Amino acid sequence: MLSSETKALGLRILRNRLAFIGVALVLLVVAAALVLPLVLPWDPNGMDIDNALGAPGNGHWLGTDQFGRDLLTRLVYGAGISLQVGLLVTLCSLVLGVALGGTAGYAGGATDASLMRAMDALLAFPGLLLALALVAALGDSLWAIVLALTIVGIPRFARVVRATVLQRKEEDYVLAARALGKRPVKILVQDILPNCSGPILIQTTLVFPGAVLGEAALSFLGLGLPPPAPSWGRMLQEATTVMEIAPSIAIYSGLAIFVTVLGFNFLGDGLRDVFDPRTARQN
Amino acid sequence: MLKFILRRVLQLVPVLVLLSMLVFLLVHLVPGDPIEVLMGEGNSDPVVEAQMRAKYGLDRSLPAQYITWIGNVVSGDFGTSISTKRPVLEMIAERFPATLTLAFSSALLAVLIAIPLGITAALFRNTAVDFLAMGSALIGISVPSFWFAILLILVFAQYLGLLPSMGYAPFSQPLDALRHLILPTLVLGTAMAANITRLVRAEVIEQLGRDYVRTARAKGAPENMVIGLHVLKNAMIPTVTLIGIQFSGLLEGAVIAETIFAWPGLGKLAVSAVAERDYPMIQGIVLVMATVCMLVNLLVDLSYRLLDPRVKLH
Amino acid sequence: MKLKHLAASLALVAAAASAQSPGAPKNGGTLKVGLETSSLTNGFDPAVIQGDSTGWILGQIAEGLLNRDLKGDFVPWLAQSWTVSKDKRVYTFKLRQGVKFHNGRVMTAGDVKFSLDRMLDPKTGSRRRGELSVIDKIEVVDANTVTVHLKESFAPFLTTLSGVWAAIIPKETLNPDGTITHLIGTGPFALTEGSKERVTMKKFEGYWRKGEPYIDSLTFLPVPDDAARMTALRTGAVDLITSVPNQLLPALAPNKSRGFELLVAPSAVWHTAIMNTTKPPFNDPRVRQAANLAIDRNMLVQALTSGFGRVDNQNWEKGSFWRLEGDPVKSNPAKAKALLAEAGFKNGPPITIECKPEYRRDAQVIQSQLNAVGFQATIRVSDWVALNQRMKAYNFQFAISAASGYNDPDFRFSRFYLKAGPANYLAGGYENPKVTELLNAARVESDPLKRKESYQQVFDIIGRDVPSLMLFFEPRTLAWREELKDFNTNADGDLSIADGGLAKTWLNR
Repeated sequence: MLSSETKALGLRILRNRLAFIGVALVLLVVAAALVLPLVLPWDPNGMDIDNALGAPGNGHWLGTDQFGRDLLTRLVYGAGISLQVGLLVTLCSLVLGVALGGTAGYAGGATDASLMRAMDALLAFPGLLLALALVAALGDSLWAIVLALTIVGIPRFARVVRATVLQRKEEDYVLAARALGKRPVKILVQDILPNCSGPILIQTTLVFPGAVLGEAALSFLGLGLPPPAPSWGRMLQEATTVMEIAPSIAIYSGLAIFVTVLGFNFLGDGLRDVFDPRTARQN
Repeated sequence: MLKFILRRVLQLVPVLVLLSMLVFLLVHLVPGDPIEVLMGEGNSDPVVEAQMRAKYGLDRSLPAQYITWIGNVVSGDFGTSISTKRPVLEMIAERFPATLTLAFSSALLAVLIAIPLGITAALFRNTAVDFLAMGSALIGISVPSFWFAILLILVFAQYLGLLPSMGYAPFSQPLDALRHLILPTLVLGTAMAANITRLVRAEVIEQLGRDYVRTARAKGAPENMVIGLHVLKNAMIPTVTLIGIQFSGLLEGAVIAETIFAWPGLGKLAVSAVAERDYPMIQGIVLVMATVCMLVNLLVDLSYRLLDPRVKLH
Repeated sequence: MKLKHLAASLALVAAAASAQSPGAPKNGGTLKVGLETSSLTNGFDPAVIQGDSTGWILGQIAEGLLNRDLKGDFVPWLAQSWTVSKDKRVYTFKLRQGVKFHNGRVMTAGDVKFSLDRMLDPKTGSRRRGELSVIDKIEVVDANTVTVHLKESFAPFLTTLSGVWAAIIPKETLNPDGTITHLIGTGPFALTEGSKERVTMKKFEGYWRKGEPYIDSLTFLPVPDDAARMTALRTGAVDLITSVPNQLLPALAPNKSRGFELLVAPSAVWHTAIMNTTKPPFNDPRVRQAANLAIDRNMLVQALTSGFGRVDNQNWEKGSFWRLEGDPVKSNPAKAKALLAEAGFKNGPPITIECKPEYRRDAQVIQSQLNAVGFQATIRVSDWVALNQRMKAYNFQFAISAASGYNDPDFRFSRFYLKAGPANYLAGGYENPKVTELLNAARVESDPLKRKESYQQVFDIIGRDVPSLMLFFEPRTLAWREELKDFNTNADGDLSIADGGLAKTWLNR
């Protein structure tokens, strides 16, 4: 059972216009990703060459792609890919970023300086080239992409956590805990980090859509999951070749990316409004 | 001031060294080397390959190669591109203006749109103007840049035939150069503008709620220029920070734009250098791009002083 | 050797395309060519070039002793004539007189010796060194005569000499360290400036073929993206493109009001599937045959070339001299399944189909065909360097690639099916003593009929062992704006062929 506080928070979120639209769009995408594969009869990889680039009809609601595969089904499976990558990237960046930022903030001194410099170096590295090199080195697997996108996401969490830790570590309750001999890791986890939940949540709402957009960009450039995986970015790229005779594929795949990212951005804005209108400045 | 600049420049050094090691390692982790590329497919001639590896020093140990390379870099020699045989710095210098032009024009467009828009949205908060501005900004950060680029090309180059779909014209033909610049700038600039607009609005709203504004209002003083200027200056600090951060993102977003629009900039050069495993070239480009980013951020930090003399540079 | 029928049909289509050409060629204009590549050239050293597009570009600047005509036959070019000794080991070339380099100097026999010696020097790093290693020595007899002595008779020798890599260049074009960054040659166009993104050339007024070229200046641009290339052609950003996406052909080919000229013709480029014969599961010939029979080549042509490609089991056209007996295999999924069962696979082996990005579409269709008979295939796309390295180390199972040319059967077979061949890994490490014996004998055999007999036997054996599969032939597609007149090319899409290419085309504007 949800506590009354949580329920109240939930209501506040839903009452916020932005968050409401965001939740609606996100639920739409998630539902499509989870439910439609069970409902649609087509195999996303089932080819039907004679019906390539076919117009809508015969059970193909949005028509077919260059190999006669059902477009709607592929878009729906593509949602699964985008959401999966978004989730993995956000989780990994969160865990690693919080760990690094917390350590840097708490330890201070040389550890802080070197960790932050290392992060600067990582940030200064052009992300796309990093992704290119990683995919070339590790092959076109899910984990190569997640790794490439996570590296870009870590500093966001790290910075924000470090700032909060720096702020809080001289406060009374922390000093007391240290005096009591509590281990630093425990202090971090139990006393300080819960206070970061606001900023962390906000970064999450920024990193997730960024990861979805990043995966689309990578697969657009050919660095995504191997074929025949229906990554939206890849579908968009392949659709540009036939745009003059079948523009719908390019339009729908781009639209899918747009709507998903938009939904998460709406949600993020709404959540930021709800939690702390002032912290909306942290982009 | 001078001490500050000096100290910051010195702080750049360890980061750059770390970066150089990172890129060196990463580049050598990727399977294949430049000699494999030069030999091509369907050709294995061990004699030629061994000779070429020795010629480029690729048969030595990794640490030895790194030290030679970094030593040369420090004395200004970024080496020679293995695929094109031309000096790396020369090729970077050739391409740099194109990328920089694109980055600056996009940043300019972004700032010209975002700052007025953000301020207006803040001043007319919660009205139709605000919703329109914020809605556009939200759309702007959600639209995939490559999709936007494709749609723009479709409309302006193909259907309307107004603008060129690709390429770059040198500044010797200014009108042509401008025509080629428009579409890529729109693509990169609008995404950046969307981000900045949101920040400016939030910052201005925050400043308008501050004591000094409320005091001035309570005193009955007109909403005059002095207050406005203060609000603006204070709102600009985080804005300028964002511009600085986004600028480095620009250099990178330029890679996609350069690919779609066949814009001959550093991004494209870097991508083809990776494809050709041209080690000196990749390493050189990453170092140059990173240095530029860090210098831009330094400029951003310096500008804080201009915007708010109270800000202590530490 | 002769792609007569292929070329004839090509010439017909080209002739039809420019049937409306009005009158005499006009001089002047700038021609912009959009190539399907992301990097125009990896340099300006003909000995070290790679890729079709680089060859087409450098071919405008530097030329060789021989050239090919539209039909694919050798024609004298910088060499006015040549004779071959009875033992086929000494070739004597009489050079054309008065041919100037772009720097004004006249070409002499010394330049020929210099160019060929340079190719043979390992320090130059030429990938073709192996093919020319049959050369023993090159002698300058007098200012206009060169003799080339071979170590042994080598039937495809003239083919080797007709490539761009064997271009005749002056030593003045070299940098002090032996590399070439600004190429000088005898070709119709002189290099103005060149980089990966843009190569510009201007008309060489002193070109030895009087009257040519007609165009004043030439610009090459890389446009790897299919859609961008079509847009570039339509908007006039380029005047000629060397590849039209196959998927658009059904709509474009019959459409007379498309707004530009379109040439669709058979090409000599075929897609191939390579199986690693040194490791399971493809070390078992039954599994290889299963894959061979699982693939429906007609469906590949339909899916990947929209029906404009063709299926064949060899690169020699019907009616040409080297045409070997034997029909392309028909797909037989039932037999494929049976073979897999026989080889001990109840569920079909899990395999990885590897390919470069350009063959992703091929991989998807082949994957579905292989999986239909029981293979459990997944796809892995890598950039070509990584894949090439893995293949050389025999660290792969099934790979998709393409190849072209190899008109001479010795090149066609020896490079791949001899263990010592430089491209043996592209035949999955295939080794067969009988094949080795036959190929070595045919190489030094001077009677063409006896050679053909050997190659027929090789062909039959390979048809049973199937280390690599010929999948289908791509169509050659070029498109150009209506102002470009008298443009024609051969099955390779070569832009510097004799009596064709960019030297003979002109702009009507």
